[in-house]
Amino acid sequence: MRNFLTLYKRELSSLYLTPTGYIVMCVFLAVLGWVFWLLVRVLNLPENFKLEEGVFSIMFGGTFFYWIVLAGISAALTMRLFAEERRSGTIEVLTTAPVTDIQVTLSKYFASLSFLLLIWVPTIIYVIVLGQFATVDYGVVFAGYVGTFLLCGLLTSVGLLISSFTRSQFVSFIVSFVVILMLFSLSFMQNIVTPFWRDLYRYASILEQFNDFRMGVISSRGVVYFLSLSIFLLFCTIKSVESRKWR
Amino acid sequence: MIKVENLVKKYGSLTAVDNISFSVAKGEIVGLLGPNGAGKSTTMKILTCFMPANSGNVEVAGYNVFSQSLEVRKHIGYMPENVPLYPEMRVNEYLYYRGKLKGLRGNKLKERLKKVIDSCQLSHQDSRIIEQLSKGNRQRIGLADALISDPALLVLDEPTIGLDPNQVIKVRDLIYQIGKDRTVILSTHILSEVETVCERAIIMNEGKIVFDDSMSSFIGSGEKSYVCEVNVPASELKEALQKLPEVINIEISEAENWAKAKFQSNNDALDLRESIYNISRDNNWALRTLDVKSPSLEEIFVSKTAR
Repeated sequence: MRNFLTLYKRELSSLYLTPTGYIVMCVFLAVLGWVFWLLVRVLNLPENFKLEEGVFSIMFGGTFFYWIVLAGISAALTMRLFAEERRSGTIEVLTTAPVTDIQVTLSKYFASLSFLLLIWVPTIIYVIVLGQFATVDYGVVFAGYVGTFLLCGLLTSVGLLISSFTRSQFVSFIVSFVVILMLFSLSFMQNIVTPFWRDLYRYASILEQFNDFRMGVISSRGVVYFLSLSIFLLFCTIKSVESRKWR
Repeated sequence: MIKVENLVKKYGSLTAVDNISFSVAKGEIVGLLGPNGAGKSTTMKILTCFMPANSGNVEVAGYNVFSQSLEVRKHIGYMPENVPLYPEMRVNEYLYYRGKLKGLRGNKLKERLKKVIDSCQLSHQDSRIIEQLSKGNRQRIGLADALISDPALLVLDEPTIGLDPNQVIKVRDLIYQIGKDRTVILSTHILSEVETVCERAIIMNEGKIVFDDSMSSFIGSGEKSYVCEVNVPASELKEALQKLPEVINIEISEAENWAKAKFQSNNDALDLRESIYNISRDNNWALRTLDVKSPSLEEIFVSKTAR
């Protein structure tokens, strides 16, 4: 446990001691702030008054920007995790210290995830500000955040796994980004396959599972889906790291 | 402390380490020499559990490097070639982090931190950012990192590379001092380093061990080389030398009326210098140079690893 905390703190420090973390945070908050402002403007137009959905149920997962930005920042935050260590050679001093592969992998995962969750915290301002001027469905907001955090956990585990395969940060970023987008687009497969496969794709689709959270419902089905996938991918990452002992 | 038996490591079709066996006793300082590509770094990487062997058995401090890797790593301080570091961290932060990772805590950690920073002369640089430091300083950080947990075995891959001559001397002294109460295995290209610091030399070439002996035993043995210089024509000197039954392998050269002869003796027990002096006195020759030397590590290295 102590080793895990030591490694976790070091990983986190590398995010705030280098520009990467700050750039990601700025880009993210800029885009999300713009989306929020745009939603408020658009939903205030008279022709949109009859719409059932509020700002937050659209902000969390209802726009193209949300998915693209999350894919981008997850890939950016995870790209250096293993790839940079391999390229610079620090993986050698890391793995020859008396630490286990599990401690190394989990510390990187939680450090990256912590940062990713942290950059969502300033968005609470939107909730507070809007709450002053309009009725906000706090259930939707809360479920939206929970769903987002679970989704971030999943995307971080995807990025980490891909980073463990390569020495190049660039390759890690591109492949992670593309894989995440492909995972998102699985939901569209529903429309073009036979009924037998349709249900399978619907269950496996991230967008579908996220819908409950957007509607303000924290369903066990969604929680289990995200958690189990994240854990499975983390397991794969640990095996990928251990595999250097097989070669 | 180290036991290597029939170690084999292949990278695809290339055999980097070809069935080597050696052991290192507790407290020995061993130098691992060899040309580039000999398999030295690979052997060290296997010893430190960074990569697995294809076959063979390696034990460090009684623990198997494959099945008891965590235990092995607790007993080792490793400094890889090219000393990889985290550029964004400060020196003391980095060493503090490494100390914690190796199991040190609280006052003990602070104590060890201060000690290694002093021993490796990093006191003036300890709050600087690693990215800004010179290679020599980074080398010293790597050494400090290897030492911080006071390990029973130090594995150093080219520890003095990139250091200026003053730093080299200081690091060698440091290695010599710390080697007094722990086991050290270091790899290097610098033969004089092995001669001054190590008690034993292992020379590897193309994955095999071609020489493994203690420094004391080979310095006293081996074919001695003699050199003498007299002011006579080369042919005359050669003739005189050939009369001595112990002299073999004569090489003669002449420059500005002085003939220089290099030769060896087939009888190591006899010091031929006296005979040479007697010859030159009897013939009224002026004798300018008369010396004998044992084969240097360099000569052995070249003879064993020549391609």
